[in-house]
Amino acid sequence: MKADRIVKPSSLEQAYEILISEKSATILGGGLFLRLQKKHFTTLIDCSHLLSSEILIGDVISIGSMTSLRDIETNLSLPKGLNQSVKQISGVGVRNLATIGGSVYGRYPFSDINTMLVALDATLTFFNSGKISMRKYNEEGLKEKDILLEISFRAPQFSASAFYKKVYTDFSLINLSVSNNTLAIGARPMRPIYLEHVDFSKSPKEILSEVEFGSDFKGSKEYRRALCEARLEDLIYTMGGHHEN
Amino acid sequence: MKINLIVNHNHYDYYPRPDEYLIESLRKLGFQSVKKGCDTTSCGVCSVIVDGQLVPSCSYLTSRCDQKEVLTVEGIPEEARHIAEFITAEGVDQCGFCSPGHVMAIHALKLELKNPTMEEIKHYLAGNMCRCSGYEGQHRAIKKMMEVE
Ligand SMILES: Cc1cc2nc3c(=O)[nH]c(=O)nc-3n(C[C@H](O)[C@H](O)[C@H](O)COP(=O)(O)OP(=O)(O)OC[C@H]3O[C@@H](n4cnc5c(N)ncnc54)[C@H](O)[C@@H]3O)c2cc1C
Ligand code: FES
Ligand code: FES
Repeated sequence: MKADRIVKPSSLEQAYEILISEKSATILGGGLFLRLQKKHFTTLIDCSHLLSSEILIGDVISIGSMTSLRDIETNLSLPKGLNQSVKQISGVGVRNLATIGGSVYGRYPFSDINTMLVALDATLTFFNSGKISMRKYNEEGLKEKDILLEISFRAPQFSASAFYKKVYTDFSLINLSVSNNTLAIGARPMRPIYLEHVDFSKSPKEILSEVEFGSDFKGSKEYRRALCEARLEDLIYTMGGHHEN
Repeated sequence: MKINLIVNHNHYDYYPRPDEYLIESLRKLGFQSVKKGCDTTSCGVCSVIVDGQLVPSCSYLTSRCDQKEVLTVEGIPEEARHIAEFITAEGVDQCGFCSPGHVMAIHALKLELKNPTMEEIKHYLAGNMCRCSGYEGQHRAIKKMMEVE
């Protein structure tokens, strides 16, 4: 990554103005994925002093876009599935820097936390575009660049997350998240999808029969389906079901 | 842009490029303990502590360090020696390239967790790669050190 300048705007209005007036200006989250890009940015916009890194717990939970993945891992008032989803994202150092905002905004198909947020039916609040559902954003993105302010969702009664990584800190070959009776599946390797009103008394094979998987250098679609079925069975077991034979 | 970079309690007037990362700045200032491994945020070899938090210095923009307290191995010589004693006692001091980052991760672990279990130690240090040791000895050493303390 190359950059001509880095600015600390005095307001979000100013940050947004720079963002949309320059084609290759971009918002800095933790900066980790930006760092890996072979791009030349005219301006990096550091809004860390203007954006929230707070987690507010209530019937509705809201998380500021600058909140680190490490804070999400260690805040035990958050739904357990959310803690679990970030736990093996690289090492502690990376999780201290990587933000939920950068993860969501990037719409990375491999993302472990985005799958959980799709299951939770989270709402995203943007500076200019206002509120948009995570599910819609995940599918369609935005027409114009924007600044993500916060992520919120209703506290679920039950949530859990599982994934399969070949190495402890690797990217997931498949990830799954449950929020009440909604199941989301990500790293298929396509973007996460979700199934609602899932009857978890059915077998993983039945539950996943309509789900599409794909192949890439990490694994074939058949391998991913097999892993997904196995990890779903594990999740169902943690919910008190299956595992008789 | 001028920043006040504080490294091991010393203040520096520093003029980073907009895309300059902390590892480069620290090495320029003479903190040669900070090593570059993968340079893609994957190995943890470049780990330092900024404002009490472990971070990969290869991916932390120096411009973001204005007024922040950066700690490298040079800033904790006694602690580094203490950790090294336990590591060498387990016979897992080999090429040593990962050691400065590893020591900073262990220091951060101690700041954050009191009486960690072996599982917690392994989880905390999972982002610090070592090509020589095989990890088991390192984990044993840290557990022993924390039990003694
Ligand atoms: C080595 C490594 C391993 C990883 N492994 C995993 C893994 O196993 N699973 C996983 O889920 N993730 C993984 N990640 C990704 C990580 O979780 C983050 O998603 C990623 O680092 C992006 O977060 P960031 O804060 O660094 O964002 P940045 O790199 O700063 O930004 C990413 C994008 O989002 C934009 N952006 C950031 N914040 C905002 C905002 N508030 N408003 C508008 N735009 C914004 C930026 O302009 C950029 O386009 C890994 C990352 C690394 C570096
Ligand atoms: S050199 Fe920074 S993580 Fe590998
Ligand atoms: S001792 Fe050689 S890399 Fe760790």
